[in-house]
Amino acid sequence: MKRIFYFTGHRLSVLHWDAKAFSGTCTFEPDARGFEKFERYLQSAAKIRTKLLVDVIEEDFRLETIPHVYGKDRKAVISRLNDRYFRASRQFTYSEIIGREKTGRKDNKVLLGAITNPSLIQPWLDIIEQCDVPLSGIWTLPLTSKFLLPVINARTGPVLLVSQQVNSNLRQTFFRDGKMISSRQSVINQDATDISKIGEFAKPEVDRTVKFLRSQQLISSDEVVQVHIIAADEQRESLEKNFVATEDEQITIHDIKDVEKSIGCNGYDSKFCDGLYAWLCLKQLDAGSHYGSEKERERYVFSLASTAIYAASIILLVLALLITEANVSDAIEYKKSTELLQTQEAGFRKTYKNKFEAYEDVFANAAAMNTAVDLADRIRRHGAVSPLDLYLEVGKAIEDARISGITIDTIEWRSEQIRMKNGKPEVVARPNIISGDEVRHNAVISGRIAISNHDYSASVDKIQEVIDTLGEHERVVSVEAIDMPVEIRSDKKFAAESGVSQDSKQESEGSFSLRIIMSGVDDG
Amino acid sequence: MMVRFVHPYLNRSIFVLITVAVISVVCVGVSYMYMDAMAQDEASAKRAMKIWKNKIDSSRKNNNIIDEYESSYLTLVDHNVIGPEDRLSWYEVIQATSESRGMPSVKYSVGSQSMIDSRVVQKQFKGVELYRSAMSMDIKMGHEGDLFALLNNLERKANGLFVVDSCDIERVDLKAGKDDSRIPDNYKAYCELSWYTIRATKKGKK
Repeated sequence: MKRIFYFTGHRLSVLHWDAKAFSGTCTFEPDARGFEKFERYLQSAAKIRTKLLVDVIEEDFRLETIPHVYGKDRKAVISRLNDRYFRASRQFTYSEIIGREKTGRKDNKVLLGAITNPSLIQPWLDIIEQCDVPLSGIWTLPLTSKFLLPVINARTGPVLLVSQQVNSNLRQTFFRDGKMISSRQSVINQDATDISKIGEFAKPEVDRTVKFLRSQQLISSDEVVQVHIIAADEQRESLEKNFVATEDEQITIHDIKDVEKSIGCNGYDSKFCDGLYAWLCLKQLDAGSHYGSEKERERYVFSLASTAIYAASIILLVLALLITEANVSDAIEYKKSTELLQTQEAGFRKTYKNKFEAYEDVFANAAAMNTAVDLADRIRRHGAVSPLDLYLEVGKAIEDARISGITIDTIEWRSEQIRMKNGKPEVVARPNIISGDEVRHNAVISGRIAISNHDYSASVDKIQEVIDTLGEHERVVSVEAIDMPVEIRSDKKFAAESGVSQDSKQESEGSFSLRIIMSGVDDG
Repeated sequence: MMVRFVHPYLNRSIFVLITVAVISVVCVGVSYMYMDAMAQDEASAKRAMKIWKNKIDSSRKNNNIIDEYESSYLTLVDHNVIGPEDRLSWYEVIQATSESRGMPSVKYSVGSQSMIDSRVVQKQFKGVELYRSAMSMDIKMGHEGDLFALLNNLERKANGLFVVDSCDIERVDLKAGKDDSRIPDNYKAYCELSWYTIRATKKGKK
């Protein structure tokens, strides 16, 4: 539910809207009985935040110029002006910078406003204060009416807005480019039961106002003033008859019902604009109120804070409930999972007891059995690298190559291991039987070759043939000649005797030594 | 005390906020403790289930190992590769081979058995110990094939597992024994062997 206090300068009305539709009104007279009724009403009604809209004849607006200053300086200047013009209305004053002069010092133009007789409104404020009703602000109708300009399409130029809120008054508010410049309320002697002759009463008042504005140079002589009149349907004929557009004036008459419909004000059945402005005021943000001191708004501020705290409480409660719900859901999931796991565990336990428990001792040896077999296999593979293996491979290679005349005198056989150290292969003389690194043959074979003393080339060729034959063997890694029957290498020493006294037919046996490195048996 | 500093207009809302905050903290705290207890129960149940699952998996794995290695293992036990060494069979094979091939001389000696550093062995082969007995053979023979026949017989007939570490074979001067009626010792050889025996560690043995 929304509510607004509407003060016309005499009586105070309370207008209620439920959702978007008007739901009712009650009016209180400014006498002892009226004040008592108002107090009773406030005490019985909900303590909701409420605006107070005032439309009083005792309200004055002045347009002044002040130096172009900011902040505290501007405040001080405006405060001095308010003191000068509205000393008695201190807490019911209003100021707004509405523009700057275009020439000279380019001073600021400031609109000052005040309720000149605060005693009219004060009794009502006292009751509101007593009843703990949070007053969100005191709004004035002329300033609120600027929000109507976009609705009636009168945003620019000089606009005079004419409306009636009560039978006996006519409100005329002058705007320039959407900013209020002046407003006056005049009393008219209209019949309370017949409002169809409004044109006769309004026309002289409007003419007087326009003449005043032109004399004040608020409207220049060559400007056309747009007069917008908001009136009931039954007033249209009279208005059209009396208000005729001229070169200086442009007349537009708006039906109250159409305007109310445009701003979404539904259900308020009145011949005047009081409900329309009340709804317009209700739609504005609370922060934009025009009159009243901080003290009057204090309750409203605390009311807002209280609402915020309630909202925080609700959010906190909802969050707590969500977290609690999430925790409980998780706990239920864990519980279900635990039951499932316990069922699985019972199944595994049963399976183990039925199938495996009797063989625990046997299984305990399985790992050692596996290891022992693997270790024995590794030793056997190392053992395959033996002098017999080398002897058979070398003998077969020489026999296959049909190399004859070679006698082997000694074989010095060792096994050696290739170990990777820092990424490079390293030969270890005594193999580590545990290691899986490659084990290979390292043998020095020494023997003799039958050669002629006068045929060095033949002996060199023969031993080279042996070296080549062994070198081509797939398992031989390297063959190195340590000693040659005839040494032709530059880095070796060699001595022999040659001459005619030597028997050219004589044959001697040239000794040689070869180092053979051969890989072990590749068992795949 | 706090209430004195708060505007009366806010008393009720602040009281509501504090009450809601207390209720929220209690609800969240209790629910969290309940969830934590359930989570711990679940973790315990998971651990218990895994223990039994692992026992079954381990038993199946051991069963497979036994199926795969039992035959090889028993053969190694029969051949004294696993368990105590059988030196007598080594001596008998050397004796029989030297006699059957008429080798002039086969001198051999076997050192005492020693355990190979268990730290080195355990790195790759957990649960077993490895022992080594060093054997040296000083042989005189008529043909180099006698040595290879001896090594071959040791491998096939003797109980145990050996590796030849080194072997030097040398042809001797034939002129020295020309008039001798005995079998000529054309070659001599000196070889070093290592006999290996495997035993389960006390920890692994059951």
